[in-house]
Amino acid sequence: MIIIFLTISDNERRELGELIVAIARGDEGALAAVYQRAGGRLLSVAMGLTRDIHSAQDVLHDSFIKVARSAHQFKRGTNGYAWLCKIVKNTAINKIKSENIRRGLDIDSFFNLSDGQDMAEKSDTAATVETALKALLPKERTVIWLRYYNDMTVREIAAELSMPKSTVHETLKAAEAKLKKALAPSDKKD
Amino acid sequence: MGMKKDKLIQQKLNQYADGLKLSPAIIEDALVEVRRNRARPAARSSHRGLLAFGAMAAAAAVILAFAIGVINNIFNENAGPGGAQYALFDLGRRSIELAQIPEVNESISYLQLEEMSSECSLFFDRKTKEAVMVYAKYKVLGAGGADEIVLIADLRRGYKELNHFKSLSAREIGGKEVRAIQFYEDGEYHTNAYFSKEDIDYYLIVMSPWSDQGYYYLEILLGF
Repeated sequence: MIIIFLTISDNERRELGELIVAIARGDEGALAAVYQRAGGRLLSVAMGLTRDIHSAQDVLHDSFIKVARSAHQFKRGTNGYAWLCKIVKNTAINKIKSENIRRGLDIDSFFNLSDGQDMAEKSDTAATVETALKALLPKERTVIWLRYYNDMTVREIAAELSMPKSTVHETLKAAEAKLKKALAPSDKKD
Repeated sequence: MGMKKDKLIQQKLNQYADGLKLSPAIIEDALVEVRRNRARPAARSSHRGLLAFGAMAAAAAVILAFAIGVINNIFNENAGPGGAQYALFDLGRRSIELAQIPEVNESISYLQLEEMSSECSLFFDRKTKEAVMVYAKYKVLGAGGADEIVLIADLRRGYKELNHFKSLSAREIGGKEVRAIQFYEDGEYHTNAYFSKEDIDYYLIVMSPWSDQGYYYLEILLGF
């Protein structure tokens, strides 16, 4: 199984660890703060395994209950983010096994590409990322997703999509070039 | 080697994930749980933090493994008090429900998986009637077949029939030392493990078509 660890700073790891310790003390605000800070990334972890946004949300729901129940077992000073990821991963794996979830590749639902939500309501980054992804071919979006959110290698992506490695490589390069071009100008605006 | 990820793309995708507007409803139940924990900090129960699956009838095969060990010790008269060693047959036995385990001892970690079948026994000192061990046997249906699990929680830490589990290879799971072995036999992965937690010895036997299930259940028992 693939474990997805998006990049996260040492500070963030430490802070998440402290929040988990606070959850163990019964601090509801700490749980809400963990959700606010890491919920999106944890959703991407769940989504990477279930490949379905609704199942991923269910996994997140169940995972946070586990976090609430087992926070007192978290070892202070260790990596809080890894601890959270592990819970999400185990919950997702079991959901897949128990419910026979069909693992599709519904990438667009994660990026809200098909919900017609008003772009004006979104943050600059969200709007820019979504616009940039929308401009990609579906196959390119899938490859970007697997590479960046699922942390898969070219070889793993090729196996997952039953494509030659060279095709994955080319698709990834093309998609990255388009994304870099689309995302770079937004840096100047920030 | 593999292609490197582009930093800008990675950063923007991270920011995107961080900025997702997630429904507050997702953590409502977890918040209730935190509140509940605060209300009864002494009664928090790590072993109930689970959700799982499958629905099932009772298991049978695993008990045989114990019967073999039990026969070897059938004449042993020690009932375990005062640090003595004991076997299952040295003790009295009565059936209990899985949900009654916390009543035996609140510190016992056990598997509480949704919609699985389980059989549970309490083994007690015949003289004093004190609880000595809890034995639970589970069957959980997954997509690839059924997992069969036997878990023994030894409160007096004198159970001798699976003593050899204590000399299995050591490994660390979630910062806890676990003695474990895994092997493939008759189309299934077998995981035998021993660990100790909060002054209770645990013996775990898992048979599963999935190679990682044994360690998955171990992680649950250890509080992950």
